[in-house]
Amino acid sequence: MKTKSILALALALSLSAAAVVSASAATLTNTSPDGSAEVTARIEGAGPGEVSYIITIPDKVDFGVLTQPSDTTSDHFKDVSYTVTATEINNLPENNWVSVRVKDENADLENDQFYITQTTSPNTKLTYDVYEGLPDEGQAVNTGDMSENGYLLTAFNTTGQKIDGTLRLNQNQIYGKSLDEIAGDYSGHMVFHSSIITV
Amino acid sequence: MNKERKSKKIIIIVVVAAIAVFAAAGIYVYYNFYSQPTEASQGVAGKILRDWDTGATEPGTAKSSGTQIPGYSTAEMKAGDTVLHLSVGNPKTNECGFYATVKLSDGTELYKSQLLEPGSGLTDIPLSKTLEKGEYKAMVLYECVTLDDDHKPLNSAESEFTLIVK
Repeated sequence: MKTKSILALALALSLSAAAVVSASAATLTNTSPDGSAEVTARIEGAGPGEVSYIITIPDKVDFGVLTQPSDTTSDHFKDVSYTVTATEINNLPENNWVSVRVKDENADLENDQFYITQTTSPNTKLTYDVYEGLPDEGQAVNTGDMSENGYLLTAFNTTGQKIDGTLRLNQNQIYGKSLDEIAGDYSGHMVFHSSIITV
Repeated sequence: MNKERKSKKIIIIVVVAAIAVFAAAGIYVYYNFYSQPTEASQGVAGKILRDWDTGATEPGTAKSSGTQIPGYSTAEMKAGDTVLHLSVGNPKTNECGFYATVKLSDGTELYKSQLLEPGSGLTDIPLSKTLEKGEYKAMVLYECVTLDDDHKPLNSAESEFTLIVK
């Protein structure tokens, strides 16, 4: 009898320990239905701390091979295209937009231009301009003074909206310079600043 | 006598088994609920999830070329909290790595991640300092790099949001 009581107690305790583990697993399952560690942040009706929108920006600035012009009687532009897209925007309140600004990675309010820099000689820089569309459609966005977070590029309020813009570098900058001085790879980076604004 | 010995043996076996089950349960609960995250970043721990997702629900959305950047409206926390619930990560369709820094608009850095590969992120950000009640302009700086060993820098992005501290 005594043995049976002890056995019954031991079994009951074992079952309760197993139940704790099962309850814990159930809790995990409730918060991650697939039973995996996946955590999703839903954009639709996104709450605080969750992803509210996604924009797609160009990976890099790449003007390729530049050519030294033989004169500067006319401009010698090298244009490259880029795209910024509103990949996902849902349930934005009325009059709210996703504003996108752009600046050079090293820009501040006093030095606000866009540059590509020779990788082996950081003092050798070439400037370029950023257009929201084609250059003949309007002024470069970096005309005028830059605000704290960059030049206003565009604003989106719907998924799928995009701008097909242009980066333009005038190769006249390298006219007359020693090839030894300017030869090499150049790189530069843009910083895209996004925020939700109320218009 | 033999019967008694046999009974004692059975009791001992069952009790040992029960202790083993308890110990296993305890270890399981401890590691799943109470153990601290171990992945370190700049001296501040943070648990990086390998299945982080933005939550984009548009079916059949083809990935356009370029880097996808998550953006935010607001995030909330209580004054004195050391963890911020904010879903920071690298969308799985990207082909570059991210270093994510959470900071205030005055430059105060709250968190910096280790390299986040596509599909990696975290939702509970360990903060390097606490904040007092108020509303702060904050941002996640996403510094994008190539995924090869060189980790060459690419264009980057700042996702601004309002941090509400209650």
